[in-house]
Amino acid sequence: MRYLRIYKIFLKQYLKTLMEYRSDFLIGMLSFFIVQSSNLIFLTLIFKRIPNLNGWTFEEVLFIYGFSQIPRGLDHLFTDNLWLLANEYVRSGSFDKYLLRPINPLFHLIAERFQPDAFGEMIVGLSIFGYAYHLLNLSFTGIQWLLLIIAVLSGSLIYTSIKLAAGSIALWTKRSQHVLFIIYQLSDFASYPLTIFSTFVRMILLIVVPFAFVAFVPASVFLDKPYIPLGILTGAIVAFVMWFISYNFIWKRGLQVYESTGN
Amino acid sequence: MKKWFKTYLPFSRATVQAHILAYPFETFMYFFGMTIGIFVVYYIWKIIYATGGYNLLEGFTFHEMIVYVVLSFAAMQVTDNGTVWIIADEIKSGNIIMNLIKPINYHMRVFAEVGGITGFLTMVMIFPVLIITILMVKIGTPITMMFFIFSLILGVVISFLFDFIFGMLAFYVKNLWGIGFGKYALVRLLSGALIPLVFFPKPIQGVLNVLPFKGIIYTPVMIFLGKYNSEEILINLLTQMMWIAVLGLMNYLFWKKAITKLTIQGG
Repeated sequence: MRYLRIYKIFLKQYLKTLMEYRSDFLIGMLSFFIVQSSNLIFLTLIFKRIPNLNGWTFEEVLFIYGFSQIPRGLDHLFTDNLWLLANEYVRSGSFDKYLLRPINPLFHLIAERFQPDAFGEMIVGLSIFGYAYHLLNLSFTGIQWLLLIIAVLSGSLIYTSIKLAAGSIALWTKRSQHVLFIIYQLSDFASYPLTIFSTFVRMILLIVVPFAFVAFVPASVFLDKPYIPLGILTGAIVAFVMWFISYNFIWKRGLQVYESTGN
Repeated sequence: MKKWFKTYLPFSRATVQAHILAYPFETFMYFFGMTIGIFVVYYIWKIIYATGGYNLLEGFTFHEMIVYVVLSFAAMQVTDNGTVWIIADEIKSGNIIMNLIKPINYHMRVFAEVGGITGFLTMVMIFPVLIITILMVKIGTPITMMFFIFSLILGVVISFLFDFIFGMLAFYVKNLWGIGFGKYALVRLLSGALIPLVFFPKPIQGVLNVLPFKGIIYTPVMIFLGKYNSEEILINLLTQMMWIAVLGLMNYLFWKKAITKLTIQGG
């Protein structure tokens, strides 16, 4: 409860700076909108040449693509500061401040930044998702909507855990943006049906860096073509295990070895 | 000419040293990360050629398509060389004033800086791709390679002039990251780096043909693949040069207007 109140205060502060630079907010959103739309254009253009992509119709691929952008955007909206942890906070010494306040350091780090650029991803994601939902004549029951929310939250948690793990490496090495960048790039694979990739790539996305559970596995359940049994439950379990490992074994361990660069 | 090199070459050298050679491992990791996108696209094209049963799609064999994807990716890295960031950052921080009072041409200095990066990346990315393609995949010839390099240099200049105008947006907005990212995505789509322009519907192709972006990626890569005959090569090269003239003039006009209005806070 106390944390919720603190988060509100941080958010209010942030929104104030946002109102000051309204055009920036629009540009940031527009940028991500362009990125996502260009991928969509790519898909539309190639589907003119083929009836389906390895057994997945255009509508189904859209569904998976749209789905994948929602947890991605949600994570982007709230935990963008993990990129700055990886890039500069440790090296510049400004990381110290998170350790000196009487609140959880990770909470403080995350609450400090709110990234409205992510609305660009979320708007595109939701629109594509809604469009595909309509084209596929889906009609979810109450329970399915609930499962959908669980799947989206699990997906976001997977993103956050992976970012936290890669970002925390900076606590040892001072900088880990390049590591985070490479791992984050792998999420490009998450927006398409997993079955089009080679076995090696599939194994990486299922086991090593489990981006497959962000969108493809749950989406395949909703499309009635489940890739693995109990996909949503498995996804949720994967998300919690990832979070547990990242938080306890990497982030907290990192805080113990952290030495300020001082000034 | 000699004096010109003596003035501007140190800027190129310094940028390469600061941005690439100072952290070679990190730089390598970034490029490795960037290539991940290529693999996604590779698998998609592979499935398309397989399920569609195509030998030839819009005039591309599968191998040509993969060369197109890889080479246009490499060309994108070479042409998207950080101009937007440098200009936007100098405007925002006020450092621009220190560079304006120096007795050197501002455009030239920035071009020398990013040109250093471009030159370096051409050596380590473009040339290996070209040589491997010609020798192993048997696509392209030393002649198309020469024309490709010439066309790519024109593409680099077009990209630079466009980025320079784009970077001046920093006079109005603070979200540099958004500007750079959005520009990258926009150019990637319109220049053919994402998908060859022939895949677009005819009317849209017509529009893309009269925009400058085609000259950044699509023209050089198509020349290398041998998709143009000598007449088409000539027309395309002339179009590129025309865009350099037009964008150069726009730069001149915008810049003249912008610096007379420039206010530096603090500096």
